[in-house]
Amino acid sequence: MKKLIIEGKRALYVDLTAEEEAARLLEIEQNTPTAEELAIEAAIADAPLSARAWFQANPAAKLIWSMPVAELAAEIASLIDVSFAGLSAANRTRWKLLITGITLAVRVLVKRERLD
Amino acid sequence: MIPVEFIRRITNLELRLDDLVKPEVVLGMSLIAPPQTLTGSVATVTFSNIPAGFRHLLLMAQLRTDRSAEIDAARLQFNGDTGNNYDEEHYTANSTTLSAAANIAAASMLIGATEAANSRSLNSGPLMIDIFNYTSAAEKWVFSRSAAFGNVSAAADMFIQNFAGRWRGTGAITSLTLLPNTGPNFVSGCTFQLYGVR
Repeated sequence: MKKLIIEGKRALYVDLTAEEEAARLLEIEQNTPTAEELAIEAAIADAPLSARAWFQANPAAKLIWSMPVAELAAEIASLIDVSFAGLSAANRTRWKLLITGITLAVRVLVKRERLD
Repeated sequence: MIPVEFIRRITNLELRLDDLVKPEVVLGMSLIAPPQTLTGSVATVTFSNIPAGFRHLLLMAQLRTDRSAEIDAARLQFNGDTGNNYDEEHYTANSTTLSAAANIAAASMLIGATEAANSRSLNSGPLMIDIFNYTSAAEKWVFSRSAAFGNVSAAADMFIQNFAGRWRGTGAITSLTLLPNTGPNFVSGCTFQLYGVR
């Protein structure tokens, strides 16, 4: 990697030192979005504009938007098992199906721009 | 015989006209270094030994990086300071969506959007950075505005960003470095001009 140093009328192209290059690569790595972040951003970019703004303003919602269905269902199931611990297993299963179904339906509707 | 007062007025008038035809005097700006156009890829661009004879600095650049995307960003450092001494707040207009974000105590200052490898060929994004009172003993304020339009295949490709940042350093700014956010390089054709503002 090279760097350009401009000093008055002089402009010099010089190689980065090994130390500078290592520091630069580390910083770039820290600045570069992860594959997961990129996937979320791409999913949000497909959303209609008002929904996109809402998802961008709510980081937790970003996960719901892009999470694989099985993972989303597992997350909801876990939440209901904790929150509705007093209910019977059969009733908790009903709640899990209901909330997962509603969440997925909203996600599909938003993607089809019906809620925009 | 021509009165002395008349000659003095004529002379003054000529001096003023002379000043008016020099752009750097009219605008109160002087180029600190000749405009530079990159002839190859570089990881950083540094203006060094910046003289202290001005009140503010203005950096104008057109930037494109080799990041495999339609947009990247540029970062700024002063006096080689890589400590966590940079704060910034910015807002982004992307198509019809407006969003904002802040970065506190960062190792460099996020300063604007740039075009990247998947943007329309030969295009580079404009970036204009004002650096206020760069020799003062106070922390230094920076304003910038920038744009990148990617490959313009959709309105969502279009970004405008405005930034306000502050460097916590209290020494006079004697050098400044621009770095790609991801890059890793600024590519051939990028341009840089640094002005001193009186």
